[in-house]
Amino acid sequence: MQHPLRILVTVAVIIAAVLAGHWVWNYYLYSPWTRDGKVRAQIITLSPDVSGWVRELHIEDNQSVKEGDLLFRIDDTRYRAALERAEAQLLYQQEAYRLAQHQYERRKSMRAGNTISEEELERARIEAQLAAANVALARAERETAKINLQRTRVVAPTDGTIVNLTLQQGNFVNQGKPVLSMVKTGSFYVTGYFEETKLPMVHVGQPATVILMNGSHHLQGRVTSVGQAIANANTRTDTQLLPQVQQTFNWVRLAQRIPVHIELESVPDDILLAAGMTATVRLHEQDRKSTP
Amino acid sequence: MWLHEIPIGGLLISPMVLFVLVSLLLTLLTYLLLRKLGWHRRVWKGAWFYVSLFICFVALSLGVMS
Repeated sequence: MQHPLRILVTVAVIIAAVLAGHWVWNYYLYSPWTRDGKVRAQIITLSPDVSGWVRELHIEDNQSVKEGDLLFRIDDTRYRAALERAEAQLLYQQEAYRLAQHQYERRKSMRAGNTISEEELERARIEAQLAAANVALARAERETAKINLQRTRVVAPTDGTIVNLTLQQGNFVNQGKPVLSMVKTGSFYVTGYFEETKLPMVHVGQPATVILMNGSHHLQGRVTSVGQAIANANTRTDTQLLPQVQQTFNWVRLAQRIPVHIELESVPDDILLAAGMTATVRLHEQDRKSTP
Repeated sequence: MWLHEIPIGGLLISPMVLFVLVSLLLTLLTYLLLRKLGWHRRVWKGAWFYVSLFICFVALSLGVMS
């Protein structure tokens, strides 16, 4: 015969297990945390504004630079010549204007003595105006040449660190084509990719803890924004512009991951952050309720 | 604060692995303790009892460690 207490103990443990299991399931699957976090930074890609040979290279890979530091210098002989040409052109046009103006003044007095026709005077006036326009044109061209010459010196747009430098002295660089990239100082942030099932618990301004892969550093942060769109593979089209609709399994769907940006409140000096590092991100629920 | 990756030799292990290991150990300890006290044979439906106990321990370790 079964002792009722023995049965009761086992039944009680089973009921407790069902409740505990339910709690674990909710806690682990639906609490706002993700193992899929990445450290990111603002990356600036630098492109020269003029083409030419790299004459001097003043930086090394992974070197930190200050805003305005000279990074490299493009060979400026052609741009110097262009400036000289533009200056000569300006001088020429200025003299041409002076001549036209002089002729106009002279014709004005001739017209007063009725020596020349009204039409001739008008022509002289228009010629003087054309010469003035040519001066303005030549001045603008000189400015452009001056800017081009200045832009042969490529300077750092902001404080940062050079990343993966492959540029070498003697390389030919093209206008507008990126040649090096740099990480802006202090621009590190973390992006946590949260499953869409967890998104209702994610709020802007929510405090977050970021744990780097080494486990020893817990960084505090705050949710700054939640991504509003991710790519949808079904909208891709083929060469006939037909949508390439993906087949899916009938029973299983994978939750999409939505990027959530987290601003780091303070980064200790002893910690070396690099964009691309893996991190676990946890958002704090209890504090969320106190935040309006 | 245990709800984060556990890096082992560069591999990132889910923290659930740790909770499960701890719970298995606790269940084993309970089993040994019950045997020692002589109560083990008096447990009704032992398999159900220990599996449920294991789940309770998982929840407990998750609650305590995180």
